[in-house]
Amino acid sequence: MKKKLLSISEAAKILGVSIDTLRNWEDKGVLKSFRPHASSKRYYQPEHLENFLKNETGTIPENIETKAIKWASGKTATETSPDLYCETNDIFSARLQSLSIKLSKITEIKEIFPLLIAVAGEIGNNSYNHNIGSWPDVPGVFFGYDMQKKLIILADRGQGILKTLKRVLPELKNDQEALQIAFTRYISARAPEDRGNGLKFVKDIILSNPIKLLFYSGQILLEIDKNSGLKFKKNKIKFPGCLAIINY
Amino acid sequence: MIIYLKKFGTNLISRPSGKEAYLALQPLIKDIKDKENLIIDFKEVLVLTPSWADEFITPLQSTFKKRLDLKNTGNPSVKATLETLKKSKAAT
Repeated sequence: MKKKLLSISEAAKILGVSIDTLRNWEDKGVLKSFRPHASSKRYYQPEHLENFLKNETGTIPENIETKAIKWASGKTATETSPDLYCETNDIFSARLQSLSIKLSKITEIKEIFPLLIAVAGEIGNNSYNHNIGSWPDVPGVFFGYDMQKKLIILADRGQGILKTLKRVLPELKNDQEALQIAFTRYISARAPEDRGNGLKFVKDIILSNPIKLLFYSGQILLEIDKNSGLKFKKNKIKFPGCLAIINY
Repeated sequence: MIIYLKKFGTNLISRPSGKEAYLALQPLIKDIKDKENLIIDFKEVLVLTPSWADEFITPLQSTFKKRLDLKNTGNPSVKATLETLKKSKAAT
């Protein structure tokens, strides 16, 4: 038997978003609705919603870390699955919402799931906010996750932390200094706008929760976790933008 | 006057959506009386980030100062975000 079509408000309730968000997603091609006639209201097929959630959360290919590293560090961006690439902030927001729904159902991370989504949201949005109008080649972020390995990966091919912060701190000498400041000092890389809280927020959350972060930019890897604090390491691979791996 | 944030969504994450919510709030609070408090209720908010809050809460804090009350702030991302806003304010 065919399942009943869902109204836009029913679909919005299932996905935990507003009706306006669903309209916006349709305009952006993120999630299509169904109209029996051109002039009729929007409906959603339950199968489409199930697939949307599954695609966003289910079968991530193996070696997602390798894919992210290749995409973020290559001289040119390797072609990647549309499931892992968010050209615009709207697409990223939609996929993050989908991840949020999935993580909210896992009892063992009930306490930290809002923090994981907030951390991923701040890192991902940082990429768009600091590179808008200045993407060196490919705009947007790589965004993938693996529920089995308990990891979330974000990467961009943007300007990187050093170049971004040099706009307001021209005396900065290297990647390590830039990362240190980005994660510990309240300074806006979009001065005179009063911004720049995101990475400090990320660091504070990780230092007080069972979450680990590996953050690469330039030739430095910054590891943050509750037990060891902040550790900087030289990295062989150079990332012109940023790559973040969140383990929970 | 009480504003229930969940009406703007349960995942309050990006700057653009925070800005949009702030603009949408303006007609709702235009008739608030001079001595009336504005209560922001975080009940049922699942995720809040400093980016969203910086566009919505920070300007309300500047305008309403002590007349702004924040209620039901127990969610860990709400707590962490408010803490970050406080630290940022103290640093600038």
